[in-house]
Amino acid sequence: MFQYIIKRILIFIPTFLIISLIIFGLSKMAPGDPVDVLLSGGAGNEAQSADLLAGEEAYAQKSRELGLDKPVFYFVLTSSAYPKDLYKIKKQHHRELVSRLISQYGNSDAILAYYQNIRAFEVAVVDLPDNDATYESRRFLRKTAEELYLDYDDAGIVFKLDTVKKRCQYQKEKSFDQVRAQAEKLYDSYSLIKTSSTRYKLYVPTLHFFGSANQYHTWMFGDYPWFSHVDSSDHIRSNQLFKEIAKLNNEQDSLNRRLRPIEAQYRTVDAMLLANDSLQNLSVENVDSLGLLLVELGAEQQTLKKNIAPLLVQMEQLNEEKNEISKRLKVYASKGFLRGDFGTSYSDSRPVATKMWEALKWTLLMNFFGILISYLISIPIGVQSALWKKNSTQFVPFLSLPILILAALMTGSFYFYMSGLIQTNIHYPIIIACNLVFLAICLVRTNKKKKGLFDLAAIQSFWFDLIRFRILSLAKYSIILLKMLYLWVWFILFFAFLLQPTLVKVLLICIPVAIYSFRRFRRKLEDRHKSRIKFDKGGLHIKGSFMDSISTTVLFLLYSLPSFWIGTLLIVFFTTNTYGVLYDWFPTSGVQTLEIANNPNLSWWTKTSDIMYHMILPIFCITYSSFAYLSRQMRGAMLSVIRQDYIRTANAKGLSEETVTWKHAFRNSLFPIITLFSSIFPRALSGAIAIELIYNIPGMGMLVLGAINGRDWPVVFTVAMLAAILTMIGNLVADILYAAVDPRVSFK
Amino acid sequence: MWFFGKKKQDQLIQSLQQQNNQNYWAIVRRQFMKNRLAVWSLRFFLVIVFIAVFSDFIANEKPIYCSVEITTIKADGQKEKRNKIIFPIIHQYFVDLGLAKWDPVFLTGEWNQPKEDKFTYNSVLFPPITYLPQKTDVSNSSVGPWSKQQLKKYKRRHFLGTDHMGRDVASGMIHGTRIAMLVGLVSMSIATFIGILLGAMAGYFGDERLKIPRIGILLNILGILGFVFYAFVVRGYQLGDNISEGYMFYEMIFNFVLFVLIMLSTNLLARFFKNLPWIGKPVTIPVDIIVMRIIEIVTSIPLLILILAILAIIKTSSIFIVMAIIGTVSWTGIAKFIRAELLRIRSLEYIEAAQAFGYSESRIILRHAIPNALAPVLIAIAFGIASAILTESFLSFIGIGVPPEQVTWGSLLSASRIASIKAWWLALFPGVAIFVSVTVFNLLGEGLTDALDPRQKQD
Repeated sequence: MFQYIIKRILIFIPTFLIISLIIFGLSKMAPGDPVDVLLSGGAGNEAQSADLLAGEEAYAQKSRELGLDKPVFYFVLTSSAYPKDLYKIKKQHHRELVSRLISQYGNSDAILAYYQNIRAFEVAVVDLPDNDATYESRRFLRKTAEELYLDYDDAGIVFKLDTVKKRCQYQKEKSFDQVRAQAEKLYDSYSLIKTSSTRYKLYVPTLHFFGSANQYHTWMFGDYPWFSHVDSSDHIRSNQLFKEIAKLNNEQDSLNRRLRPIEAQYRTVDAMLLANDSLQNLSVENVDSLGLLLVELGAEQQTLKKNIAPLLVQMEQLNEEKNEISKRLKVYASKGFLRGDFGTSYSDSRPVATKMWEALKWTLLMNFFGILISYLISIPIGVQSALWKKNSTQFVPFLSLPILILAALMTGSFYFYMSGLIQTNIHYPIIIACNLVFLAICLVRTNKKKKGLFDLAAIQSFWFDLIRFRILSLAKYSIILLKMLYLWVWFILFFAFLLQPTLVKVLLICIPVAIYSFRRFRRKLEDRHKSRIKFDKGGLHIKGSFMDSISTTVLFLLYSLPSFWIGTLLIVFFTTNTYGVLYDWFPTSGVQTLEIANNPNLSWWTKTSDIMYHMILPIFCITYSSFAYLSRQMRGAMLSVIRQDYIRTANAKGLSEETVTWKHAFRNSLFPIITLFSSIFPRALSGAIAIELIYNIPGMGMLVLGAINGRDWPVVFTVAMLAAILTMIGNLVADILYAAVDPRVSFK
Repeated sequence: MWFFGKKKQDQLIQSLQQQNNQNYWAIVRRQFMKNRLAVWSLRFFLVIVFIAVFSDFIANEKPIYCSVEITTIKADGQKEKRNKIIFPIIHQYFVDLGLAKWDPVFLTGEWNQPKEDKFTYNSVLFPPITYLPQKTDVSNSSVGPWSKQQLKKYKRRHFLGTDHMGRDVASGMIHGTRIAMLVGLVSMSIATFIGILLGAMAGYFGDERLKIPRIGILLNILGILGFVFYAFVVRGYQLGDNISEGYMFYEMIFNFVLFVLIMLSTNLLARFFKNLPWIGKPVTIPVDIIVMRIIEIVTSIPLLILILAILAIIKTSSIFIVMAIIGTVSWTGIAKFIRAELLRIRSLEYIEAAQAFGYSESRIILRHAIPNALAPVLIAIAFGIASAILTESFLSFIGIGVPPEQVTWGSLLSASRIASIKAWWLALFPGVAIFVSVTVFNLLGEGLTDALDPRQKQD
């Protein structure tokens, strides 16, 4: 057993690494430049070459922070035409230009020279004096230089270089000398590329090795030291400075917040006084008081400003020190995926981990209840369905009086509540009480045949099982939950009846009554379903196999119903009053009502019930699809167990049906359910994307969708990675559980 | 009428056939036909296929048949009239193939409401639905099936309403059938190909049967590296550009041929060195373990997120890329099925006989083992088509991967969220189409499972 676990974990590691490679590869193929996204563009308006260089420095700084200044992988299989240090070109689109040109011509030296010339040309253009005469040319040349970085097509480059050359010759000013010379150089270097092309190099493969300082290694394991904290004095000082600056910032903010209204007031008073000078419409007293006020405000302003000034000076000092330190400080890109550092989101620069936690809350809430309920329903349905196939007839007490009365009560309550005659404080207790009463009736009647109406022993044993939390023994009572269907089906029928127009109501009553009262029809109905259904004693006698085929068909249809369709239908029909006041049952979308969520006076209970109210429809959508699947699995497992010899033996020994089912058969049929349990983890993470989209729930699915639409790759790939890991852990747990539950399973 | 007494006739034929041939497929067929749900789903399947094939004749702007009076204005200003009988929908096929051309009067005139000075219909037969799915009917946007619609001349009602842009829902559903069937067909062919290849290797060779000389292993690894180099490094940019320009199938075929050529040449080369002392020594390769690990990896990544991630990377996506991706990630079920079957078959006597004859391994696998293992694959394919259709409609529902101008069932359904909450017809009908087709394929799979399961015969 222990050996098996160790073996599984050892297999787990290479699988994990390969998955991480796949996801990393995908993330590297993603279009767009993350650094540009984070710096939000901003290039193209530099007034001087110094600005251009500063921009490049900022770019380099950011890419160092993201760990993008390193080679992609430990090694690279490439053609010999590519230089090894191609990754040292900072900007992504520059790198792409060089590498695309190399893939066309194969002579890296000439191409790198051409690239350097474009840069020199750009710098020269930026340094042109900014006056009216050259403005147009300067702008044009700047634009062309930027476009040259994006052009890999021979015709396009030649055309652009030609126009640049012409434009430079056309401009006779002295300040253009430098640019003109650079343009000539650029032109020559491009023609050199074409003349000295060495395409054969492209077909010769080479391997370059880079060592562990690469992007994959940084992403996976991090470049931050593993076994020691980085606690050089610089780091500590930098952290301190960071905190102090933040503190000062806060102080300054609070002072500013006080200062701003005073300033505004001062300005209005001043304006009033000025206006008064010209209009003379204020009394002397007023003018005096206003003057006093003005002086007061002025004094206050002065003191506040005095307070702020030293703060600003201090902050500037601290900032300078921080910049100085950050220049010599080694920048660590990441602690690595394995240490829980998932990077920062491109869209809002927040850590991916916090974003995921916020979203995970809703997804977990939804999935926890969804899966719990579906397990609770599917186990009894699966077992019962298998028993139906085995047993002869099943009695369904459809017309029994308590069910009808309770269903009518529920319907009435619901109807009056929807029409606005009663409030929740009456409606909810009635519904809950009806269900509880029905449950109690079912519980008491479980063993009715044997020991009379109130079977104390049964209740006692149920209670003992409950307090000792013996789940497997409690499972047999789950059949009772199934009997809730009788009540709810009648409730739905009653309510659907109420919603019909009067004519349909009359027909709906008359036709069945007529059919039932005419003997001929009745006999025909019974004949057609010969030995399948029989009306008798206030209920239906249904043949077991027929029941089973009905239930399997219904489950199958439920399983095939796409949940995003059902979600859409529910939201169209049952969340607005478009189709009648009586259909407006649920909130339209979201997870909370804004007024309730933002009101601090309301109790915790009100807020929770509000959330649960919003969650009903999404949880329903998750539940029904998985419950259909689970029930089918449970039924199959139960059927295969029931056919076994030892069940026959148990029956032959004279054990009661209940004992045979729940003690012998049920426990042995749990294996497939255990294996299915492993798929729950990843499902909770990736979320029911469509359900979240339809109901506007800010869970994992919405997060992933938003990230994909917003090209926010760290989020996408972190979710994919975590889902993969959870699947693998789920498989592992399922295997171990399997071995723990079934002693026959020996892993060798 | 032909269908009177057909059932009895069928039964008679069936009982006669039963007496004659009791081969495997006949038994399977009989078991399948016993299952009423499965038989009904088979009929539904045929109807769906019919709709998919003839969707142009069911929902189209152009008439199926028409006899027109064409008015042309000559150079001297005189009008000339001539009569002509055409079948515009069939004619369109020829035009698409480049075999015919349209008369210039038809290029500008709308078929639904022809202008008097161009042509008039003497007699005309329109398809039941007179709209194309992409065409917008501006005067009838967001109209329901029973609400008042503004209709002119040859435009019929929008039977199932329109979406917010005035596109006909019924037509979208009819044409969406073709896309759904194509998704099932293409993605499952890819999945079946990969699944049978890997599954058969894993099942037949197991962990011990495949023995390759050391030089062979080395050359194969080199061959794969070489393929990666020449296909993805040398032609990397070209490949990416071509795929984003829509030449994906060309690239797939090209790379596949390249792969086969390189691997063939390396394996031929390996034959020369087979008899050398050290490098020619055969080594066992645990194919089964390798394939099972690959399957574990693919099943570990949640398919939906993987598909979403891949689709997000592709710049200009088309429905065929979606199909290809669904196919390449959903082969694991088929591989598992065929592996299990081949594990059973490879120890049967006739395989041993074939080996004794000295047949090559590839011949035994392809001609003797796989044909006997195909039955359970049918089950996996049926379920696979259902889930492929579901995945595609889900993707177009959330609006990722499928281009916006493409009308599919999923995109129609998602229009119910955009348009307004009142458009119940947009929420109901496309969903019914998805549900019916998914159920049909699931039921077919279920029926096949029952029919192929030997335990079932006893009941």
